Amino acid sequence: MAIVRIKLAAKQHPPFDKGLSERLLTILSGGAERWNAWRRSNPDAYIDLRGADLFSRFGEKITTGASFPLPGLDLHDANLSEANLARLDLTGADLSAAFAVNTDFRSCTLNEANLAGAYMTEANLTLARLNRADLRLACLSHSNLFMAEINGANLRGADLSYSHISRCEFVDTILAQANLEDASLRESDLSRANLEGANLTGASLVEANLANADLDGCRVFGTSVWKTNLDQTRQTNLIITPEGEPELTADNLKVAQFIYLILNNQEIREVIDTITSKVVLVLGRFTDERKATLDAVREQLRHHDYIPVLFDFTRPSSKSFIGTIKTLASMTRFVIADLTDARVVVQEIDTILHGFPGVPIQPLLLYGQKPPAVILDYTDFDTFLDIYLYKDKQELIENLMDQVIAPAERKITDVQRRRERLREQLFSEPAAPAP
Amino acid sequence: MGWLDLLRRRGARKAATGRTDQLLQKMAELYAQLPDNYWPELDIVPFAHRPVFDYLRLCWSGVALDPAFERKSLSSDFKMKGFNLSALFYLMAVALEVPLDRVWAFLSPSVPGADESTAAMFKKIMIMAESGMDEDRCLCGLAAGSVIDPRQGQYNRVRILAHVDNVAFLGQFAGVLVALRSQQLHDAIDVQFGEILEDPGWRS
Repeated sequence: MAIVRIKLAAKQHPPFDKGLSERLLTILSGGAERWNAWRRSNPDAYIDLRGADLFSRFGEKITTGASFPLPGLDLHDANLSEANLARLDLTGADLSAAFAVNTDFRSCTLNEANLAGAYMTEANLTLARLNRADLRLACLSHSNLFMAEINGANLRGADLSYSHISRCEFVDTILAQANLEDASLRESDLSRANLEGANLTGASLVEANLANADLDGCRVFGTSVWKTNLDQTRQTNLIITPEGEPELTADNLKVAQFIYLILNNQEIREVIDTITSKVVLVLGRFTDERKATLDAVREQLRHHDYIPVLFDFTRPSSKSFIGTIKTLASMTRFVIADLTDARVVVQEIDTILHGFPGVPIQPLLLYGQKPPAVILDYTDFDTFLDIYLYKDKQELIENLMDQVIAPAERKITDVQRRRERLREQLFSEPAAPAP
Repeated sequence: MGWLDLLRRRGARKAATGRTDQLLQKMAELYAQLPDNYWPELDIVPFAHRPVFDYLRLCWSGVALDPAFERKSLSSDFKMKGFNLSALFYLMAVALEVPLDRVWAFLSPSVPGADESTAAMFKKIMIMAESGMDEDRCLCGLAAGSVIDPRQGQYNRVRILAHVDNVAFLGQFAGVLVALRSQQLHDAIDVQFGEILEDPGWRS
């Protein structure tokens, strides 16, 4: 692709000249055509409109119903700092390389306008319309763009850091290589936007719509993506480390967020280790009368330093629990399945046995109750342990360690030893042949 | 070596060609000569900042910081005045290859009435270095304000404020200079144009 050279706003300005500013406003009151002609004949004139209140000056024309259009107004290189341009129609205007610090552009129409290289830090663009505008290399840091329309615009290389961009529309907009560091893009619509190589460090994309957007090569350290729509979003080469650190990339925004969290938070790693080494999943149907049994089992598990996680099938539901069971089983040390009055757990047991062959299942059954017949099929599985029959809560609690926890732990040890043996057979160096 | 020699050689590489042992030796010599270089008519030691600059160059070349030297006072130990501080900033900027306009803009006061002595002196040194003057004494005299400053060199007498009156501050200021050097686009006061990839399909 070809390179474009864009003029940037000057940062050094002469002292304010009120007389000059008044003369310029007089010319401007003649409309865009007269103004542009004057600028063409005075190409080197310094356009000093600092603090000019254009809204008040042309307000009458605005409030009488006929908006005051200044289409194609030539304000390139102008100094518009602290000026009030609210509600003006500046469609197609040229504000390239303009210096507009703390300028009021509220509800201003800037569709198709040229703002390339403009310096608009701390500008107020609330409800402004910037559709198809050219904002390449513009500086909009610390600006307010709440509910602005910026569809189909080009903000390549623009600086929007620390800006308030909530509920803004960026549909089909180019934001490639833009700096969105610590910007708030909450609930903004960025569908089909091109954000290639953009800096999203610390940006909030909470509830934003990024459907079909392109995030290739974005820096996403500390980016918030809660309830963000990432449908068909291109998420490749996302840099999850902050600037200045060795780059670590991932291809999924939410995974990237999680990976960095794990890598940089010892506490989170400990939590995950704790969960995977101590969680005991308890499956069953625990009606009110059997709730006491459950509470006692949970208390005993806690007493033995386990973390009981209960999955209660008491409330019938048409919803499938298989997905949830798979997630829980993947982080579980072993499973206690109470088959008493619980035909519904059969499907879940089946899922665990087939999907997680290393996780032991210790079935329980209240003495005198009949287990589902399909249980017989599970006896072929090595990790489906012998059913422990208990007479009452008291007996279950007294024998929980010997009859429930110990067999499960023995099976875990067996599984681990078997895996180690297999690993040795597969990966150890073959013995040298005898001479 | 006069500091004009350094001015002529803008490149940091040339400015820091001295071997460490040579620099150490020179620094000691310069330090010892400070009392002999006092100009009573201007109340300055024109080269008072040289030992400090040499120390900084040593640090930049990898020599470990000297805590005792870092604590030394610029005004009482080295007899530095505002003039010397500006001259030292200039040498540091040249050595670290920082665009001088950025440094001048950084040193310039942002509110009317604030002290502009450091920035004004820095600008004078910039202009004189660009004009190619090659007499150490002439340059020092001009920079000291006795010739071109109608206020009879008031900048000479600007005292260095207590909270920056130590060598360690200059190490921190070097960090500022490096940050100025890395400025880009709108952040850099001297950059007038930016380059960006074209988007051929946009607005089509």
